[in-house]
Amino acid sequence: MLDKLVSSVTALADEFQEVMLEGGRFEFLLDGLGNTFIITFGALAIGIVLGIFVAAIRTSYDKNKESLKLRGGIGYVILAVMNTICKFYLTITRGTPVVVQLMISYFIIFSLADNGIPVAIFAFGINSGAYVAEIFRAGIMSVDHGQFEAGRSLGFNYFQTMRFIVIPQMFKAVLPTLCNEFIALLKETSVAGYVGVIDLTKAGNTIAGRTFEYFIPLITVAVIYLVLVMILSWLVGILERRLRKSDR
Amino acid sequence: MKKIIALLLCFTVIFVFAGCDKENESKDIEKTENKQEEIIHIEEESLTESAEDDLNDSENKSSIKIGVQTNTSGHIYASGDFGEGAVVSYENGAVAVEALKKGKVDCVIIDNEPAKSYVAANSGLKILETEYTTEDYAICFNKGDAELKNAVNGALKALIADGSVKKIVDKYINNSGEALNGILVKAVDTDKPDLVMATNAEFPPYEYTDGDKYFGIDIEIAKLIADKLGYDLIIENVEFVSVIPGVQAGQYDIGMAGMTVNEERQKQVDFSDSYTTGVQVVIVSEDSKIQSVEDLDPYYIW
Repeated sequence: MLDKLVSSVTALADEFQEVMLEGGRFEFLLDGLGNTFIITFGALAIGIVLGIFVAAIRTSYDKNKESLKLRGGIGYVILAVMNTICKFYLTITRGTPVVVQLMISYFIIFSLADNGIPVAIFAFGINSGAYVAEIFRAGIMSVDHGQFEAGRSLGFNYFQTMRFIVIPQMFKAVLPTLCNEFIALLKETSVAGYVGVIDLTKAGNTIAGRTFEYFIPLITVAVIYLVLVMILSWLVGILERRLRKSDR
Repeated sequence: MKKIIALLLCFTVIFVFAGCDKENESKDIEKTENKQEEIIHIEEESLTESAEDDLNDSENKSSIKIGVQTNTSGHIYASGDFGEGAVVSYENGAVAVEALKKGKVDCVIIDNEPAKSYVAANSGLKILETEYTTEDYAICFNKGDAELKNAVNGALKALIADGSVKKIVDKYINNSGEALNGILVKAVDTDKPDLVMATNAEFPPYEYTDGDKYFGIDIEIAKLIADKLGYDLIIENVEFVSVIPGVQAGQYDIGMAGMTVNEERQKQVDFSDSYTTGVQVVIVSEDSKIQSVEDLDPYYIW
């Protein structure tokens, strides 16, 4: 029984050696991993910035529309227009598949770009921004209105209340969902192969196509994704515990 | 106030992006010669620029970008000859050709027959006269299925001998004018045993869909073989990369997808005798700097 196990493990190790390590194929996979990282973190940065903007507009509109409407003036009009634009962006981005958005970015918006990576960063960033925006908005809305009123009655203006009272509480509330979004983004980048980018999935697929051995490359790719996601959730777990220290 | 200004800036940027997009579209639509020339000029500029960049970045990599379809023999040959860095692989041939049209790659290496269809459908493209390489197409089987392989080889031999195979190839490639026999996508069940064939029906004229039917050289040959052996042909339309693993796993009885016989594939599956020969060709845009296969790479040794 044990002999059988040992021999099958060594056979698998030999096969791994043959499929993944010969001819620099593992380096090829690592290059793919590097591209996956670049795309994920680039898209993350764009997504968070965009998400904050959109969430800020949407919540300030929701919270202030009555008072602004009463006061009248240009402020209300600007905010209302921007709110509509944001809603439009959210509908389009969340209503179409990310692969389609990626292809549109590659072939129509940036039709002259010959490198797929910046295009992929842009497309995934825009896509992720919509989801992050809704996560942030939910977070801001979940902070009790009393907190906001307390801030205002202490003499903070709207932005100060947001900055010092609402956002810190919001951040703690949205962290698990935000982490979820990052994990989803990391795995979503596996379609970057559609625009000629060699990411982790595409690299695994190419190795499989070259060796016609599917088991090992696919399992290797799956394990790498799994490890990345586990590291990510572990880091977020540490951050969550740190933020919870002040809870009583 | 600062926030509002920042937001306004942000949206200006977005509108500028949207503006770029429209401009491109209108350029495409207005086919006045001036505009066309302008676009070509811009594309040339960006091409030479990127080529220079590549040369500066790395001495070993080819300055030419070659588009291919992922894991086809064109992909394997091209990355073997020019290195992975020179090859950009796309999900299917049509996407690779689209990338060529947009100037994202300098040429596309693909099978001759689909290449003809792509060039016919897109103006401004041409196929280089010299072929890139030639290869044999065959049907693949599970390694354990020697019985089926022998039966199919027998049927194939008879069909080649009586000219049926040539007739099929002629009507798809040389437009001999005979009617095409499609096979309904939704298979009709009879009491004959099933012969499940995996293919990737995005590879005209070898296999493609039109309306509710499959057409193509492979499809019709497979149908004749199935009829001869008394099977019901069931076609499974899957990704090209899934054909061999599926046959290996026993999900499909045969794989027939314009598939080239090579050593690596022979390790995984068994192949029948070759039923036709495929040619890999190079598609370029008409005004490309690549005008012969030798232009592909100055260091390439024939």
